Amino acid sequence: MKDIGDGLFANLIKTQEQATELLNRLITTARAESVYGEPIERDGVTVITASEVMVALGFGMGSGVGAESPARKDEQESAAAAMGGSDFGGGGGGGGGGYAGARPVAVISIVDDRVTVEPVVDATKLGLAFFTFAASFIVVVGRLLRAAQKSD
Amino acid sequence: MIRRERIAGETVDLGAMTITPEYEAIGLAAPGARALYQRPTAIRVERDATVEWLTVPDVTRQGQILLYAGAALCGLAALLVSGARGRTR
Repeated sequence: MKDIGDGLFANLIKTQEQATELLNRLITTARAESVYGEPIERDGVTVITASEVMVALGFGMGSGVGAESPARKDEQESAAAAMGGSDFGGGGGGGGGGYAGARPVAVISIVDDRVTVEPVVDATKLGLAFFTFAASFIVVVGRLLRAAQKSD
Repeated sequence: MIRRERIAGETVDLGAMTITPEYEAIGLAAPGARALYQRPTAIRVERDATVEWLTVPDVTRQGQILLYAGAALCGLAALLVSGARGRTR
């Protein structure tokens, strides 16, 4: 049983090393000039996009072997012998997940000798933030008004 | 482990002008997990032996920080008002 357990754990460690190597490779791929785009030229205007990039990856795995309880050992051995198998039980599992996203931040435009950086505004994100702020502000004002009315 | 560094990107030659974009990379490495965040910071414009730095502003992020900070302050103020009312009862 120890041999089988050792084999399972050795296999698990090897799989974890492979998964870590894969993660490192994916991160390196994401790093390669993903922030600034390739310069695009049209009618004398060159444009380079600048973006914010986020990549996150993770995995987890585990395994276990059945405990050999002295009270149940005879029962297990006889059951295993009857089935013609071993008296060993174990299992393992794993999973992983990740996120990758990019958001345009600015556009760099070059016209003749003039270089300008034009910011890209995400109205949806700013709108959501504004509504959050407005809701909080209304709550505060409401509470202040109620407090003022009660103190009168 | 968290690593933060400023990296110069690939130089772009445009006639007499050379543009070098710069970005900031923040990496997080934990057992079984990796994360990488990159944002553009500035561009270096070199022409006629003069160097000019142009920052890349993230207007959306700045606006979000400002508005969410305002919302957090309002929340704090609401809690303080509630606390003050509770004490006066």
